Amino acid sequence: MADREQVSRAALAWLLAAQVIILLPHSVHAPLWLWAVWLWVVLWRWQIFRGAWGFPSLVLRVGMMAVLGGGLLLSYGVKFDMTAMVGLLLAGFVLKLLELKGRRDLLVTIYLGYFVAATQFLFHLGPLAGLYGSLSLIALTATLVAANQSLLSHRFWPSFRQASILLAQAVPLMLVLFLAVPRTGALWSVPSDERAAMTGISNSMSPGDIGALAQSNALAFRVTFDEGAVPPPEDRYWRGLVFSYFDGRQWRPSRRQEAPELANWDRASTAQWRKLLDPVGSPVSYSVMLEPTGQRWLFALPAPTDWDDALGIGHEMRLLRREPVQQRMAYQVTSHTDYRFQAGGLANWEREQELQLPQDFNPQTRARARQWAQEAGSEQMLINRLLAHYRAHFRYTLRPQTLGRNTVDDFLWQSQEGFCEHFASSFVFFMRAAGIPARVVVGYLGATQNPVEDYWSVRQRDAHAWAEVWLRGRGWVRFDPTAAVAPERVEGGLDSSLSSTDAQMLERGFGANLALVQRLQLRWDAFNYQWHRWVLGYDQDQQSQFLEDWLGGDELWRIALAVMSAGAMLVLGLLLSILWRQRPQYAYPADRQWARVERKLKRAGWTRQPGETPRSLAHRLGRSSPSLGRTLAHIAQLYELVSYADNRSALAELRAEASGFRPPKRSLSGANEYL
Amino acid sequence: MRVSPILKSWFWAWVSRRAPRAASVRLRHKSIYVLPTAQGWGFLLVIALLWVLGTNYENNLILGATFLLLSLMVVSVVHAFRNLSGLTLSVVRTHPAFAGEFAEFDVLLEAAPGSRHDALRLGWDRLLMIEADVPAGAQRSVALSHKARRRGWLVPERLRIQSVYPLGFFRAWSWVQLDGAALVYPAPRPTDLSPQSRISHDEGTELSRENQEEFQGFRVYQAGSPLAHVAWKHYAREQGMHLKDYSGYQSEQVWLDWDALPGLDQESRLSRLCYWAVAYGKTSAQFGLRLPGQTVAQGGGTAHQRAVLKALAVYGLPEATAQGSGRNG
Repeated sequence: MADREQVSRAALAWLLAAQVIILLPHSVHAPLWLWAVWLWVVLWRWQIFRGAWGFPSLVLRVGMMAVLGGGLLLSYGVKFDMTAMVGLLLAGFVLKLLELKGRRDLLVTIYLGYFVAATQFLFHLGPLAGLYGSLSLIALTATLVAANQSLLSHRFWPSFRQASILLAQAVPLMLVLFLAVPRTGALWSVPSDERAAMTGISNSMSPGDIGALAQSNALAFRVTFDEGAVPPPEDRYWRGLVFSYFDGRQWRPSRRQEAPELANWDRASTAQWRKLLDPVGSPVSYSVMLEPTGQRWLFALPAPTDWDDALGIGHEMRLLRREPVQQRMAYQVTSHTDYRFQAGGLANWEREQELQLPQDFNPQTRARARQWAQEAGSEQMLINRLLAHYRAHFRYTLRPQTLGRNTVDDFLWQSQEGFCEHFASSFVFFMRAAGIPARVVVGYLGATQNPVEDYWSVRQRDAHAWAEVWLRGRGWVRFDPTAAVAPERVEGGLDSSLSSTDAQMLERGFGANLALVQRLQLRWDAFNYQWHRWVLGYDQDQQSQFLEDWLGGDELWRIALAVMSAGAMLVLGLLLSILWRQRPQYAYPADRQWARVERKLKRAGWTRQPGETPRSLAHRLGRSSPSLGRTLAHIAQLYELVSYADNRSALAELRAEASGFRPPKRSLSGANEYL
Repeated sequence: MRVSPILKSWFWAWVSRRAPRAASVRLRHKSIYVLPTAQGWGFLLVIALLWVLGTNYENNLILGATFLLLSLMVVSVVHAFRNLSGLTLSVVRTHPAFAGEFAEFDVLLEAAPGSRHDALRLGWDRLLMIEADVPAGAQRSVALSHKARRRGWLVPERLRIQSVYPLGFFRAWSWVQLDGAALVYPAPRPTDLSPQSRISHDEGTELSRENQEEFQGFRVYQAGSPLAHVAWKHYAREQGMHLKDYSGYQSEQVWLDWDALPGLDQESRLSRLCYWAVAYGKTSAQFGLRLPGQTVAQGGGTAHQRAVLKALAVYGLPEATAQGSGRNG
């Protein structure tokens, strides 16, 4: 097949177009100079096409690959992970253009292209990415069609059309496969990509951290409450992390809090400390769709009493996951927002942990705390006095003065302005100094309802820090010192609680002041949510639920049967449509009836010879079978009447004759009909 | 792959039953076969790799792309079939050839209503495949060559028509047995020995041999006579069209005689007679052919030469083969 070895111009043009389309989304991680390499390769290819330059020699190709590999090493660093591998694939995909001599090379390049095109989904996951990915697949398929087109035709757009039709016809079966083919879960553990920086709450809290986070409008998670049982705003504290260790500047989880073996991974466990939670009142159930955080902790309303199987729970009643959340994940939780926890008392080690303070930091606060504790009659009175102090003198702002070495002293007695982390940090420090166990809790406060879809979104700007104080007989109680300064923060969110100059620092969606734009944004956000929930979030659990609903079970034979029948239906449907399109066309109605008669004759063993008219056929067959001859002569007469005399009434009769026509089987002795 | 001969003949009988020989053959689902190509298997490998990638990263979009490509493969089976389905083939003309050369068959390809047929490849020999596109509602004629091994009527075996369009994952093909036979003349074998018989010599020398171009008189023009012999001067004088008659032409009346080639076997004789028939066909000589039990009268011109060559081609062959393709499919 030597003549098929050539690469048609249309195929080459499509390959270049497909390369641009495929390389574009990889720009987020691929070095910019890769585009320069691509342009250079295209120039070279053009010169080869013109016959001006030759193909590069093997030595040159190896050299180029080495240089490119070195460049990638510089760009990505020595660590070989998925991103670096994709970079290498991209380089190969680009350079392959220079050794594209025949059809075989072209096919290898296209196949490589399919793989590279799919890897863009490692970096982009939104609905637009899905749309764009389909475009790359169409372009590649058009290249494939052009490669299989005959060299006689230089058609460019028809291959695009053909590719679109093919892919569109493939969609129904794809949906069935997507829904039904079992998700096995990762075959082996893949290294997580640490390069992908994710915004969100981190594992420690220094002054200014949460203030910086609050300026991001990025989505943290979405929540759907079951049966619309939405807790009131003052209960929408999404707990994430608990910090019990303070080094003077930074709050961190204590070593014990971080130890994964102390967490409990059995939902129904009867461990002693799990019994210390005493839920009161009615539960609230909700499902959370968490954006990737790269962390192991999850967010839930306190106190979670029931949750998904794969999750664990830490000592401070916070939900955990074994693996970092690298992809959007959904989980279901039931919480009792009214509860008593550890009301019976703290263990010694715990008490020690929740009273820990760094030596020689904030001496002024320590002294003041001891003094106020003596003056106050009870713990509650001490707390009230501190909160009143905040209320009287403090300002809530995103741009506080910078604090010195003794952050709490500076904040409490001098600058007296700050963001939630300042309030939480100083409050907990003060409580501990006064001998009351206390800790910092970090998470999100609030949620915004999307009016289009029934869900609530929590954004990074809702990030918040507050305090939990252990009171004798009541256990852990939440105190939010920020609420003392800016009560609107709890009720109305961040916007309403900041001054207008401060509020300008907040990131908003484009055109947040235009009602129409805002509505469109809400719709888009709602669509995004559905996309994430049903497309990206379709996992083993959802699948087994779906299979249960539609197939009555998730056994392999049911899935195989469903997939097979979907495939068979698709193939059969397409075949029928093809045969229907290729059905014989009759210019005259009588011809259709005559064709029917002829088909029946053929089935009975009689054939019309080329050039024989209906009448002469009737005459010839009449010699073998007089009765058949008579019937056929009648039909032939009707045929002539309809065809040549335009006799409408004869058409009805012809139709009746044709449908009632039963020719006798031709006997073997009658084989002399050809004579 | 070794297949037992019985199985093989059974297979071909089965194929023939599904696609009997006919003057015009429309490709239908009964006679179209579809199987994956090496590229198709390669693409399946790409799909498998993508599935591993998507599964390991638990990335539903990659999995979606994987399933889309898998479905694309399934869809392409139907389209590979469609590209052949409904195509009508018929032999419109055959061109005779000499044994050892290639006989040409003009095959007409007619598109099915409302469909086009791309990148078709057809031929008897895998090395001599012809590529053709048939646009919707159109006809295309292709000239297919078939090696002519022996003299006689060449009835080609199954014609293979195939295509991998649109994606190359699957090859659809069909075997077609078309009515239509090409005449194969014996391979001309040059020889010094003239096969002219003595009798022709005697008749040819009655008029002066030494002055072959001697003018004899005029004859009335008959359609088909060589224009070189037309008396143009008479024609210009409006005296009607006449032919100048030369005596020399009568002396070039020869017989190609089987008996003039003694000591040779049948095929060698036919080859030599064929050589001379070709040689005399290039001249204006009147020549005839004498074979045992068969005579072609003397004559000239292309049609006559063809009759002579045909007689040589089918000489001594059984009636059935000599008639070419009968309705025996």
